Amino acid sequence: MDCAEVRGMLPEHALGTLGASDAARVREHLGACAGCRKETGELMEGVEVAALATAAQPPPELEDRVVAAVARAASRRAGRRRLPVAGLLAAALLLALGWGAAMAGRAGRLGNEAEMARRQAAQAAGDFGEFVGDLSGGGAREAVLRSTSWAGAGGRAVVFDSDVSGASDWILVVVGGLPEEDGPYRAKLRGEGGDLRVGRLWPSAEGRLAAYALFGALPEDREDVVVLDADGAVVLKGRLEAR
Amino acid sequence: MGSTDAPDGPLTPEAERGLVRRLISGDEEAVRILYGRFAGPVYGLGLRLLGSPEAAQELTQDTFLAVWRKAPQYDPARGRLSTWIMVIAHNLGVDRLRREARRPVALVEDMETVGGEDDETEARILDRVATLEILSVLSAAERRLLGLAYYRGWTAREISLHDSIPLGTVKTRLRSALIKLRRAHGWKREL
Repeated sequence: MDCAEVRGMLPEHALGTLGASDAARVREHLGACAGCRKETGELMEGVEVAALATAAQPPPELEDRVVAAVARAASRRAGRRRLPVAGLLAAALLLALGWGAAMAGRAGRLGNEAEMARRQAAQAAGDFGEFVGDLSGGGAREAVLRSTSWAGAGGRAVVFDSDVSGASDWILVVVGGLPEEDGPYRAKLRGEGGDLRVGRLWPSAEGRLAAYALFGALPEDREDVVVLDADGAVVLKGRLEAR
Repeated sequence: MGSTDAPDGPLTPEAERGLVRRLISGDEEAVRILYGRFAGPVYGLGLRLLGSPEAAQELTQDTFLAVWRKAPQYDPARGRLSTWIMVIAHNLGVDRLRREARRPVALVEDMETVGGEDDETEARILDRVATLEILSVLSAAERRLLGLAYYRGWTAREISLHDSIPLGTVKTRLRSALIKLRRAHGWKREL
């Protein structure tokens, strides 16, 4: 497009009534032509005067509605941005735990190492809670999971309650010493409001099993963490308490 | 809380950039400052384009949401913040107008006959008088064409066909109208 052709389109370009394909061609030309950019600027100033010509007083209550709408949108965006960070943190932790390094069968075979696994799980969960708490701002709760049947089994759970609007709450469950034949195992948050599914516990290294989940906002009345076997029987249980 | 008082003079380019940075970071006060400066023109444009206070309020809210969402794309080198915001408002309004085939209240040329309802407020009367004063530098033909293009979103070709005016004449008159407004009232762009 040459300048003459573009100049004929500039009034409509400034008024916003140019078709999409012509508008794209005009924009491309403007990127390389200072003269047409200057003309566009002057026409845009005229359009702005036309806009001011019809200025009117909006109802007083509209301001708070608009501000609230922007705040909600900003909050949602913040939440979306935090999720990948949350995923990265969890992935980093699970790598540290040896996630994927062990095969499913190892969990049961290493049942006699339950005490070591429980200690390691507790350390990992503790480090995780401090790590996330330092990064995100908020409070962490922790539960020591004790076996209801197998003396050698146990674990820890850490819940991170974010105090940032729109950010996610987290839970990580790490257990050890559970017999393979009774699995797969699932973790849940339990309370007066019912159960919240955390998810299936997957084998990690050294006989540990782990699961994590993110929640938009974790209800405070879910105070217990339970681990159930394949038949739905509770095999591990613990109450969340502030760290 | 309200902050729709008259703005305290024009924003410097530095102030505009600072406001946009604060907006991106979600600063509520920045939203209120922008609202105080631009809500009137946006709302008025909505009234003129869409024809009802309810639709104008929705357009105002949609515009500020879009401004917040697009704030990282704002480039001061390509124009003033006020121009950018009004382009967003106009595009949103025209899109909605076309989507709903809504008929606006009136063209600019009809403004003398708009209003006059028993419950018309003093503010509305003043708004209307100000509009007529600003647009008085235009000829009747220019006011009509500008009204069809800006307040109804018609293309130059649609205007040409509707009013049986050569397309080139429509484009020339639109340009003439915009340049006249800029020369006569450019100082009023002090949002």
